[in-house]
Amino acid sequence: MIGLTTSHKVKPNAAGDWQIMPPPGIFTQIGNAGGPASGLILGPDDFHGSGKVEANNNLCLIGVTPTEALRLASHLDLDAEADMIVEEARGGRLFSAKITEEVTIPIGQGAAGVWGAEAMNPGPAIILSVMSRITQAPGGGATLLDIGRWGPGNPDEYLSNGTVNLGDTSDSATDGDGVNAGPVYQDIDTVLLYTTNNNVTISDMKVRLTTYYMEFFPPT
Amino acid sequence: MSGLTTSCRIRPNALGDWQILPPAGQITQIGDAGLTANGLISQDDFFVTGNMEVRDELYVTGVTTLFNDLWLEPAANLRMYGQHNESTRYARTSEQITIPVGQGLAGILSAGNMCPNHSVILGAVGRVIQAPGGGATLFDVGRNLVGPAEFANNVAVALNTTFTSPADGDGSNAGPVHNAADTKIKITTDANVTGTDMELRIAVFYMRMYPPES
Repeated sequence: MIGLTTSHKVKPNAAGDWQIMPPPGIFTQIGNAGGPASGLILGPDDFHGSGKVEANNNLCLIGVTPTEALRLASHLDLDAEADMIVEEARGGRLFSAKITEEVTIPIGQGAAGVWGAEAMNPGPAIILSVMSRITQAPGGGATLLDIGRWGPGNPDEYLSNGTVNLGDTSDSATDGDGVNAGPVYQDIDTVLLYTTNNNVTISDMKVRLTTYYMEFFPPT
Repeated sequence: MSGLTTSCRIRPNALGDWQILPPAGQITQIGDAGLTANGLISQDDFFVTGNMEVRDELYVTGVTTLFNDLWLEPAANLRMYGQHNESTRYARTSEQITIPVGQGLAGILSAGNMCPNHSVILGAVGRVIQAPGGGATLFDVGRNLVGPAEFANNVAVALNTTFTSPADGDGSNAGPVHNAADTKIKITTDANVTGTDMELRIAVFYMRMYPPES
């Protein structure tokens, strides 16, 4: 154990856990990338990772200063499975999330509308934006696409007369029919309707659609 | 080396990296602040009783639970991805804008497009950081060619006066608003500035959306 001294101990603590105990005034550091610690790192209970840190299970942070539990100097990226939840003391929640589905408009259909399978507008929620991409262009027939809500909305509020070429994208803020100037309240789970100007011919058409929304749950 | 036993090892692992291997059923802890672990139960777990700082990236494949605020410094944004790289980004733009002597009544534009395209504008805020020497007494703030007073309507020009769009706009936007195209902010005063320049610091908070990439 070269480098360890008697003032720097690794030992079982009173709880029976293994514990690294640097002497007072010295924090524990992993790595030597040369970056100095910020002002948060001052004492022997602190930990400074000069490289990357990975937790393959849960990460729980309990801050002690009034405003900072996790302070980031660079971006926070939430991958596909990750959403953001803001919880109040009694279990009420604000859920900031997204949902994606791919819908097929089969040959011989489209002009009368095709329903999506998922409730792409969940409720109760605020729908922030609805975006789409043509992942497979139709073999023929349809040239334009509308997307909107069933029931409370209208069939082209999110996309009005969008083209159906492979890779075409849409944004409800710019490509809808203009009914919604901003985010809209959604009271119940709602599927979306995909309507083409003509039925699809020769080969199926496919659309991938993402809804960004904020959903609310009352206290439990 | 009091306290170390042969069942607790710091040794190179199969990858050649240094690894702390407590015995089964025990966690590794840094510090001795007298706190107990919060749900950590096994020897693979790691518990820091003080502050923790990471100079590079932090990867978490489980749930991250915060018992205090998430604080994003000026260079940091929050981005949420989907399986096909669709994403939404919470971000802000900020500018210090000068209204020179002899101008203001016809409006002054921000240098950059403070309201980006494909976004939901959540709100705009501002502060007078230098009052005009004379002339102008009130100012409006809004998107250029959209709403000249939608974010601030007849706000006083005194030093350190602030505005927030939900409270101080003209009411044309009752809530967050979609912003289709890249757009600059326009500041308009009720009279041209005289004496010395006026300066404002303005920030726009928004969510920008990106469609699926495949």
